[in-house]
Amino acid sequence: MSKRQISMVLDLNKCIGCNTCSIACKRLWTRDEGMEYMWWNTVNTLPGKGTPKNWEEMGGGFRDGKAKPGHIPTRDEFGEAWAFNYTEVFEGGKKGKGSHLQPAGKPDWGPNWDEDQGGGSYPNGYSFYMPRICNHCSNPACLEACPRNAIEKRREDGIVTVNEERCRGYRFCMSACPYKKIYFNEQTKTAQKCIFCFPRIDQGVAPACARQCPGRLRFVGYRDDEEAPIWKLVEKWKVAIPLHPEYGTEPNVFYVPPLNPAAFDEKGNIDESKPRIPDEYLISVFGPQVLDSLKILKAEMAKRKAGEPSELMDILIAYKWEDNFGGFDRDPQTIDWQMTAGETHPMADDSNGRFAGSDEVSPVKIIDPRAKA
Amino acid sequence: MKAEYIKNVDLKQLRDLKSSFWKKVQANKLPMNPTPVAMQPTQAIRSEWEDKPFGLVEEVSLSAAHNGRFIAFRLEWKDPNQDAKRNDNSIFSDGAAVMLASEPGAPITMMGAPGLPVNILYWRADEGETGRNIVAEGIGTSKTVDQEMVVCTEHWADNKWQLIIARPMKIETKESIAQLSPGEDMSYGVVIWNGAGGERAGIKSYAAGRDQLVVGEAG
Repeated sequence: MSKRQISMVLDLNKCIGCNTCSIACKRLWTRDEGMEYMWWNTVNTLPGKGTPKNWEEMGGGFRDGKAKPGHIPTRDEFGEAWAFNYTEVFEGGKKGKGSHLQPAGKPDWGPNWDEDQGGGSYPNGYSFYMPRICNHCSNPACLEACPRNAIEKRREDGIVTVNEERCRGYRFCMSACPYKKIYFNEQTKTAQKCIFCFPRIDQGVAPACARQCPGRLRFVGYRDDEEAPIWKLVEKWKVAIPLHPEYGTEPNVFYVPPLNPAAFDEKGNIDESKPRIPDEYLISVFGPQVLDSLKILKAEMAKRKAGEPSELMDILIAYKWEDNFGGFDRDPQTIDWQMTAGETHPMADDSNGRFAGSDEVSPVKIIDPRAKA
Repeated sequence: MKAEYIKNVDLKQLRDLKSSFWKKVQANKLPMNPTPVAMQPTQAIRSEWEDKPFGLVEEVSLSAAHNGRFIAFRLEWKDPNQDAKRNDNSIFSDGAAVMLASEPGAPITMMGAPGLPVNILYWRADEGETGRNIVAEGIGTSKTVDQEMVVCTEHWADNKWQLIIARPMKIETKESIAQLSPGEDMSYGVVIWNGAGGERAGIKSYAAGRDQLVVGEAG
């Protein structure tokens, strides 16, 4: 049992599917050999098959309190990191006339393959973006499944991590995780996953996916901090809800569900009595609480439209982006990130990789979780 | 069973599947069984495997020889697939291990117990000749001590694995490994993982020796 639980809320109404979060994470954590196909943060279009392909049908998690057998996603299902013909295009001597940049072979799946396909049919087609990280669950199926106690839930903040010294690559965690957010590294022969940027959290810096989000849709903080947005969105306003609560793992990542516009009727007129996204579909993704959540959101929007104040709308608008982070708003560039080997780590999320160590800040030594002793 | 003392052979010959002395060393056929599902340490493993067949290897042939300095175990078992590559998340490698009690009374079937360690000489097809020297004091506690002291020679042909796992009889270490001397005896066991069946960790075939392993004396 963790003393406190760190958490994230993502407002799906603000996600534009740009994948800046995915790149922020990729640059920071999954650039080593064996990690090429890993995307600890993904953004997919719903309805859709997602990443890995058809992950919602792969089992895992708990049903009626009992562990449900699951499938280990293959590399093809995740989508391989394609090899491109850079040398041929840029150094092949044909000055761009002979070859076009393209992946080798004929890929038929990738981590965002069915982007923007969505569901429904004209004029009532619909879609929304679904950014996903590890849910750092309160009842993690991966942790329960591991026979070596190699998966740990940090006591101080509930972040779920893989202890790579103990992991022997058995991959029971991969079949047990119903969200299919654990990867296997063939080089290190260990499982690897989102670590909620815990070295940043330890220094008061929000995860890279959250800080880099241009849409300001991610909120970070402790679940029990009543002054901060997480508690207000999840507990007070009850608009932020987990993905697939029926999986039984008690996620600590929550979503403000997509507002559902009205459908068009046969004549092309707006029919306020029918939602564009079928309620059944939203319930299948977020559980029955989604309808209450949408009601609350719409009521508060109406209040705001009528000129009345709304705390909920003010939070979701995110006037000041620092307010999204429940105190985890320290500038990563003010920290001297050092690895045990004495190297500087690209921890700062500034894309130029600059590290403006400040004289006012004592250098902080962190242990890079990827570094081997 | 006895680990026969073989005069005038070096480690290279002990590790050679074709060395002529192996024909004279008695091979012991050990019936193997799947580890009980109820003994699997997590609910997820138990639920996944309660209705799934595992423990696919039903018999192993085990013989042992030493030259006073090194000991070698020869294992042979039927396996229609050579699973030696780990080229996807759902692919598992064949593996085998010989387990020795590091302390008298260490329970082989439980992989030891607190204060009663076992020493596991471990081979995995995708790691080749580099074996692992492992200690454990119960299920789920195995710890690799080193990847230098245990060396392996493997060969798969005609639907059969032939494997030699060798190790110095004595190793200077603070870890609780089995130290072997001529004339001594100890409990032993064998474990085989069939990669094609998804076997890994506690999902395996095992055989606990019904007798003791006696380290043969010179002469």
